[in-house]
Amino acid sequence: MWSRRNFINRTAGAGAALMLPGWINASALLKGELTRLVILHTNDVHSRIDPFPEDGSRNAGLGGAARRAALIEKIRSENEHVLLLDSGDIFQGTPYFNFYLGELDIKLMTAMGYDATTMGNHDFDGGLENYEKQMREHGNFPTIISNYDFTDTVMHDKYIPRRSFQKGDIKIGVTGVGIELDGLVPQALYGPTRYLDPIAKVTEQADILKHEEGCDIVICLSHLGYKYDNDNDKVSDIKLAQNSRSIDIILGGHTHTFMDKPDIYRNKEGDNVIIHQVGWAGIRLGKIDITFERNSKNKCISCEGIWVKEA
Amino acid sequence: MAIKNYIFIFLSIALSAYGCTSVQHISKTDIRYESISSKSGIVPDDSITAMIAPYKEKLDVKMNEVIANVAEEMTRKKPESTLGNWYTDAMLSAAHQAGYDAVFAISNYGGLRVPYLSAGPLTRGELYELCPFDNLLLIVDVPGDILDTLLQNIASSDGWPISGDIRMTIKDHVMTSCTITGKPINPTTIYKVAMPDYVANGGDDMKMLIPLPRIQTGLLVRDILIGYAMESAKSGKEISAPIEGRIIIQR
Repeated sequence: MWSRRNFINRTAGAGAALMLPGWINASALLKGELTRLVILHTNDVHSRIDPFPEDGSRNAGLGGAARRAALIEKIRSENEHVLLLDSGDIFQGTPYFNFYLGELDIKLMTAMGYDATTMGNHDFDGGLENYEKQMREHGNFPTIISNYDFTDTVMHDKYIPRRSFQKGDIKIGVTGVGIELDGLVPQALYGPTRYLDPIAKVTEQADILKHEEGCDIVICLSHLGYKYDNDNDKVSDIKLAQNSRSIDIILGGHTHTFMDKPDIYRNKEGDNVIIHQVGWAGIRLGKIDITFERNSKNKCISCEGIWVKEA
Repeated sequence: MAIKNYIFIFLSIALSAYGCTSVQHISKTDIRYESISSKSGIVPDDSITAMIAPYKEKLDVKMNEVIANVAEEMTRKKPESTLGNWYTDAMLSAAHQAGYDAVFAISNYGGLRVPYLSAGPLTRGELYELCPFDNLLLIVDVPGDILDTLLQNIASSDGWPISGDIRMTIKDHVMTSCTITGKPINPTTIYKVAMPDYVANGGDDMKMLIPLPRIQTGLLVRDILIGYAMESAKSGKEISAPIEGRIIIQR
């Protein structure tokens, strides 16, 4: 499904590529040019600004914003194209939230250069007004969510359903999806927010990103939760992967799942969808390295498919 | 070089003209995680540490105060756990101390926000992390038949923290038996149950509690835990809460 707009994007990209010395090479075009993208991600950091105390317990010395920032910087210094994303529940969990209401969490994410986040249920904990205030005063990255309708709330002009990011030759689409609030978050906190069907809404955005905006890869930031063994009806990342279209990677959250390796499911159209989640508390930083091959064919010459290295 | 250039331009024009522009394929994906640990050799970023410092100093004064001692590590687990037992016993005890009649106390599993309290000195900050929410304790009048549904919901998620005097068995996520102070649930009795307002207001799919009459104690669950811990310390006791068989999963 190649739209006119997509076509223009592509030719514009090829024109820009002419400027680059590495591209003045016809054989490289014929063989296919490789670009590397690194996607870094966190979820459910829950105001864990300090590392867990060195008290001999199992999480001792793990996590901590200053060390995470150093690691991100190191990866940025080694890679040209890096995207840094979060899947929600930034707030709540340590006294930093009780006393500062998320101010420091958002300031630090801005300093670390986060590119986007979606909203978790606990990001409502200080009220929607508080989230809006902290993001307005201290944030410089967007809240991306496709299935919360904030029209009648203070958030009405403070969120977007999707965004695309250009990193070198690669265009990355990002959308987001949130968990049902009713029964989970007190109504007083989410007010007149309307919850919409997550799979339908996020697929709509992913379709636009992939087919109209011409994104090479589409990422969904999800706070739906990885899976629910005791509740077959509840929508989860696995269900989203199986029942959606146009999404390549789901970066999950909510269930605090430490995945030692990602899951891969086939979606409605038989395409692979990766699911990854990195537990909680900023103990791990998820890292997805993707090599793109650029060529003129519909078939990839050097593709190994999606493969996964043991952690 | 010039010739190559021409070939490139020719090719790109040719490709564009035929609508067959170049396509990006994902050729290789490597997914892993990096552990963030003091043992990893990553030196914390100075500018971030400096941003945190003024916030941290103010908090540390309050939060680093040792208020009690934990005998051995208390963990949060299903169906029953030491941490869950301590937590809900504290809630019931606080209700009684404040003069309220309550048969037992429950908390949603997700209300306990850390997986364990480590052995040794317990700080105020650790209890903030265990219960970061500003949840209030309520006493809800629950008729026996609704209590049965409530406990069945708890069984379907393999157990919640629950105070003593309850004995419940679960098989395949279904409650198979339950006694309260040694007696089976009477569908027509009204049971007074202490719980966080989050649950009483229908949180964690406990919607059947929404219409029920309740009393506001005005007590924050977190303050209850802090008070309960300090009380132990005052009477020279370490904090502990053994597993008693409150909830058992049958295999």
